[in-house]
Amino acid sequence: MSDVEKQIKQWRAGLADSEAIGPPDLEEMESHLREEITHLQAADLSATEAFLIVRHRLGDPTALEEEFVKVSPYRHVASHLSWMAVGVMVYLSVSKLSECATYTSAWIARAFALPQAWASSVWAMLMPILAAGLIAWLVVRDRRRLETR
Amino acid sequence: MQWTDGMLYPVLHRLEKQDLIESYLSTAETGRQRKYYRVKKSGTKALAEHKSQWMLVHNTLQQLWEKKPCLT
Repeated sequence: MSDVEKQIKQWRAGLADSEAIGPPDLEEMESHLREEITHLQAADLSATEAFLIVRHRLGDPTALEEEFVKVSPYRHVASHLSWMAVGVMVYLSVSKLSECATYTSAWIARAFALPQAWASSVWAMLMPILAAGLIAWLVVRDRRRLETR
Repeated sequence: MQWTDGMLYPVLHRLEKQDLIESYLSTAETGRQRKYYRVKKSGTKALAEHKSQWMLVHNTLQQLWEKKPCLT
């Protein structure tokens, strides 16, 4: 894949992160980008130079996102609501899972004649570690996303 | 606000939602699918209405500017 193809792909991925910009919008803007690149190349510019100019002319992803939100504000809200629902479901399943884990560890403690305190302390230690891991993963993922913009 | 080429598309989509323009897909000379837009009758009508409203505002202001202020 040529450098410009990589840059176009990266540019598109950056815009695709926005809920307000759907695949047909991306397709339309990519078409615009490619056609303008071809025009500028005809005027003796290199592919990379042309890409940089057209990307600048199309506009900053954040500003574009704001304009797309104005057209379909509910798409944005719907996406946020669905993420909230996912969050609630994840919370419920994790709490049920931890309940199961506590019962299992209590059972192991009884079966192997370990002190009862062992069961609760193991999960008290594991849960913050799991939560910290999850937060770290989210931070790293968001940083990578921002870098592609 | 800085106007950029990409901001044209949300505006076109809004006009299409308002049924003032329509779009169709066609293959461009480059071989890629290109979306074309054209103004509908309702769009031309809406434009004329907006224009007449702006002309009304313009004419009213024009008459106000021409009035000499009375200072006595």
